[in-house]
Amino acid sequence: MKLMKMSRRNIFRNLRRSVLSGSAIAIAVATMVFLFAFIGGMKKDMAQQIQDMVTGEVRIQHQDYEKNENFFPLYLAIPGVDAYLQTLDSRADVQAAVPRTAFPGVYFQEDEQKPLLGWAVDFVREEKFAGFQKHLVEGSLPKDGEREVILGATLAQDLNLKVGNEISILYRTAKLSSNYMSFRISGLISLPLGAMNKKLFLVSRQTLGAKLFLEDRATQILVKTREGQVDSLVQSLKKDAPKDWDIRSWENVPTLYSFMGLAEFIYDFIALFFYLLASTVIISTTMMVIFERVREIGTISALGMTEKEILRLFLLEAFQISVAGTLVGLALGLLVVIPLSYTGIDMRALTDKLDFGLSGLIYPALNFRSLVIVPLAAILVATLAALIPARRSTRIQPVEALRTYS
Amino acid sequence: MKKNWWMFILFLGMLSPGIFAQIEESSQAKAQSIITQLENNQNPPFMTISGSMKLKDRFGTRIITLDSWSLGDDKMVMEFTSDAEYGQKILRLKDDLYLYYPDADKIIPIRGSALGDSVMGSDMSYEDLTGNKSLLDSYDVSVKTEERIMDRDCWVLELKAKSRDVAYSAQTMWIDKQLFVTRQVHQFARSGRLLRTMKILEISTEGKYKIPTRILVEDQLKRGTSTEFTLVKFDVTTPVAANKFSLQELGK
Repeated sequence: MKLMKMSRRNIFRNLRRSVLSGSAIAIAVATMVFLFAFIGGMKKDMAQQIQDMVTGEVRIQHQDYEKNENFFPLYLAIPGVDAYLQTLDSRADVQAAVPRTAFPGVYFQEDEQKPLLGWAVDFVREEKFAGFQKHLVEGSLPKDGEREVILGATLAQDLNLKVGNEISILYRTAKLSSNYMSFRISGLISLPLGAMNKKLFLVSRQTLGAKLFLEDRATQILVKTREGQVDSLVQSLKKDAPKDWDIRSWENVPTLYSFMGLAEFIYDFIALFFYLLASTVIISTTMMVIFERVREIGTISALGMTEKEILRLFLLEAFQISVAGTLVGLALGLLVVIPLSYTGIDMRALTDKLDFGLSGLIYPALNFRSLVIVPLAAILVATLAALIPARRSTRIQPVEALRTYS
Repeated sequence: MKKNWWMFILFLGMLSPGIFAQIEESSQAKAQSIITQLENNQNPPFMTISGSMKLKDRFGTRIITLDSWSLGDDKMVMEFTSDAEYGQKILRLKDDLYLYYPDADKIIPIRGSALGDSVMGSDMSYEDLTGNKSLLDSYDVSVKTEERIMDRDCWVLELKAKSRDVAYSAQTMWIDKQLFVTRQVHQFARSGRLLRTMKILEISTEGKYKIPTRILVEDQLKRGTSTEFTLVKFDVTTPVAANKFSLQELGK
């Protein structure tokens, strides 16, 4: 208790230095709170986009599809999709299931060919899944049986096409033949994945199924579960599924999401580096304090304070500065993160050009790492850093100190 | 005597460039005559054919059936009759190519880089369907050697492109000495890289014409692919109407 009082008094005796040390810790903590919240937001966003647009929570496809994916192997479409979807609908652990078939297309514009990506989808089922209706910026969804298409809004802008115009697209079928077909543009869509809006066109599976020679086949069935029962659903579906089907949870599908774990690991190191950098300020200020207080240390040592007590005194000083700095940093971090978690950070300039699997707006999300690990680590690193100069204070001999500095 | 001997060698030396030039000239003339005879043999003024293309690639084997009509050197229509390609057509009018698909309201003109695309996934490109019908218009030809391939005695002709606007900058052709028909062709890029090989596996005779009825084409830039053309029926006696070769007729 006496040591605590002494250490607090010492902090205020050198207030400027204490503020300097605390500020360094505060800046490091605020930065890391923001960065971890940002990466947490990116992870959450990416997971949502992957589940809605790419894999669902559970992805079902032919076992050879993935290794031939670059060729859009429609001939590996899985059969009996309609009956299987009905089976999935009847399950209590399935929230929604959709058939999807991705296929390559080409748009001819004078002497140039623009590559496109087509999705043959079931628009009615998709309302419970990706919800294309809410992403429409103009027009309406294609009607089943009508030769209608919806285009990515950016794609339509690039091709100078509007709702009601006609577009002819060359595409490849499941029989590896090509077909060129004209569609009326019924609507324009702006999906959260900006890069998709530059190349995607969506047609009704009921309209194009026969023309793609797919009939009741689809290259993928994507499933969303109730209450996140992903692993149990995967195991259950595997029991009854044909042997050549590949049924996987979204986390086991190789996507950019797996890189997010790596990014987090790298950020851990960056955080440690930041803290060490901030700690150098504590080390140097503590060192200066010790040099200035050699005579005082000699006196309290002559009065009977043990080496351990002197060490604890300096560590307590560093601990209190780092706690104060961390709390200020945490407050600063929250001050930045909380408003941004509502407004989002506009990344469209980047995500519209590059396909990161991220939407244009990232909402930083506070999590255990940013709220607990970051502050605790900051206090621990800063306090331990003070050990180096504090140990020096214990080596000061009282007689020598009093003689030298008297 | 010794002096006369040296004079003789000197005389030969003075003659040799002329002799070689003459040999070269005669080789070219011979090659031109072979090509002319070959084209007279293989290219009737009009022709109707029904046939198939057997495509082999990493995805397996598929067969595309087609009918085709040609008139003169530069008019041709191909209509595909197999289930997956039914009703699709390719029209050649001089050096222009057009694709017609029954499900589209537009006709695709094949221009620029699209000319290098594969015809229906085969080992042939659209560019192979264009160009002058006579090889002599586009290539300088010479007889390189003689070889026996596929149990036939052949001349081996070397063809070098006169300009850059042809699909292959060089070709080597094996011409049957007895029948004056092509037996094998190797086609090369400017770099000397072998791009495509073609083997004539069967030939049928109709009047004065000798028509290749089974041809194996292999794109050497793709691994494990081949295209085998088989002519099931051909007719070189019934004239083909000129109005068949128009954009208006293509959509009918």
